[in-house]
Amino acid sequence: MIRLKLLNNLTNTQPYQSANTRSSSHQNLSAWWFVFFRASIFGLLLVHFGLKANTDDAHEWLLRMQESSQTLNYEISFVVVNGNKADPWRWFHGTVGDNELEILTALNGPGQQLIRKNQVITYLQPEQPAYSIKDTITDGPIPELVRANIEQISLSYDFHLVGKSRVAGLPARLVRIIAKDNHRYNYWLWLHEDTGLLLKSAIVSENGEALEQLQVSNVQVFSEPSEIITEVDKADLPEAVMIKNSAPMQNMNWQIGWVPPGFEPVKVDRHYLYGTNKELVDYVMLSDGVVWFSIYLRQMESGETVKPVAFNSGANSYLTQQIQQAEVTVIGKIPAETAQRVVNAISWKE
Amino acid sequence: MSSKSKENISAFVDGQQDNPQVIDKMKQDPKLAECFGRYHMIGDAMRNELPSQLNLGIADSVMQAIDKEPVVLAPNARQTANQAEQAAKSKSTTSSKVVQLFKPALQYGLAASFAAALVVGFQIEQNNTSVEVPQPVLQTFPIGGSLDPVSMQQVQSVQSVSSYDAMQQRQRINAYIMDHAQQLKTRQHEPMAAKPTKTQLEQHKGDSSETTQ
Repeated sequence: MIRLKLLNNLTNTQPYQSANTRSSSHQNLSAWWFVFFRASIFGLLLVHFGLKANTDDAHEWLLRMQESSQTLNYEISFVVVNGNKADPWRWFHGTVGDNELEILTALNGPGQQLIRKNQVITYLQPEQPAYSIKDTITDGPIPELVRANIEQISLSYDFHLVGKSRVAGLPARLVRIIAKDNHRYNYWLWLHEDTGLLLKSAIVSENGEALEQLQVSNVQVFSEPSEIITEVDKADLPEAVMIKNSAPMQNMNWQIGWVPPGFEPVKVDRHYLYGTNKELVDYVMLSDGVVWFSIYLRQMESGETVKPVAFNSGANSYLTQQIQQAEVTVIGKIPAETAQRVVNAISWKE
Repeated sequence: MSSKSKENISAFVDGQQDNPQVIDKMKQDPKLAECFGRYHMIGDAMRNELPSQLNLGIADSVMQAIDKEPVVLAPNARQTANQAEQAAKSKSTTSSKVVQLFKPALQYGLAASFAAALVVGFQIEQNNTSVEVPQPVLQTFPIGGSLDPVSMQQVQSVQSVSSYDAMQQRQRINAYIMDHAQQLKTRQHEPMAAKPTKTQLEQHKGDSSETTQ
């Protein structure tokens, strides 16, 4: 689109130029240059405004998506495709009085459910007691972007409104959220033309390969909240747990020399690794508002060695590597190269 | 317990025999039943499918819990019918009857009572500068769409190590993946705190590497 505009401008300036050169003699070269200069400035300005409008539109669409997905009453069926897995989900959302409620149900396998009531998220899983956490962004099938802080994201990503298409049988707008550097993945969102609801999303690598996708198959928007929503509104949910376990990074005897710009530590602690009661790890979680990844550092016993392991699954990267007498592990939805660079930059404080 | 019946059970576990007599025998003889369980576990161990933590007493504890349970879990037909009638009569006053359509919702009641016991002592005081204290861990599982914590690692380097080391490493990889999933659930994203500060903005303009300390 931008390129098209540029071409238009160039062709528009053509007659000016030729007319000018025909009427002017060789001595009048400065005037010719002036006109050419003015025309190109004009062209650049047009391109600039075109780009600006495009970014602003994309920004508007993202805000619209957030507003409508947090205020409308709807039922959406979708499938998350990750590598060779496809997980179908059902998503209910509605508002009852002042309460915003959301239910996400996994349709395959043992029932998994996420319930949101305002800022409290309840995780219901088989063979496990349910628990609630005070949080705004769920760790679930829906991209975090639906609730992320757009202002924060705009520091690390550019937004582009790309075009119209048809998704899930509905007219859709494609918004691309393009990373400003190649240290993170890009995100494409297809939004419903009328409501702004999410119809499709993809995590796309630098080469344009879709690593993880969400595809909506059915959307229904209601004027009233559905029965399930009103029932859950009345139900007793477990009381929310507050987790405030971040320690300052200064307390660690190691440091991270490089992270992609925009990533900030959001959680720092030392805990026993999941399922083990002897593996104590230093833990740092970093986020740029769109993606969250983990860094683990485990002190190894003397004589112990660790073979490096690296693999990808969908958008997730996993990397373990030995640095001096420690096992460093990075996990998250970041490119493998970024993970490697983060690991390489880890050093010990003097 | 004869070796013959043991053999029968073994064949049954392997799916080679579909003899109803074996099942009947097993039902009657608790020793045989135990044997059946053991064979399954051996099979799991050989296929490397054992969970990281084994709770062998789970069946017993479940049985005990059921014995202690005073509530009639299976509602009889008349009662349910009555309830349905009552519900129909006073539809406006039904409070939290989240049962019919929505089965997992049954957990709510239980869940509320569990949650308090589950997570305690998460708080670390802000000015407590020591990070030495390991914290109790909220047990969560990855939600669909995240990494698979199974033996999906087709990594050359792992296979070349001795099988014990490889197994240990695989376990640790799984532990890391599960831990990451769990950390994602407890990231406690605060929109207020997420607002970029001025220094962050400046760092962005620099766009070069930054040191996180």
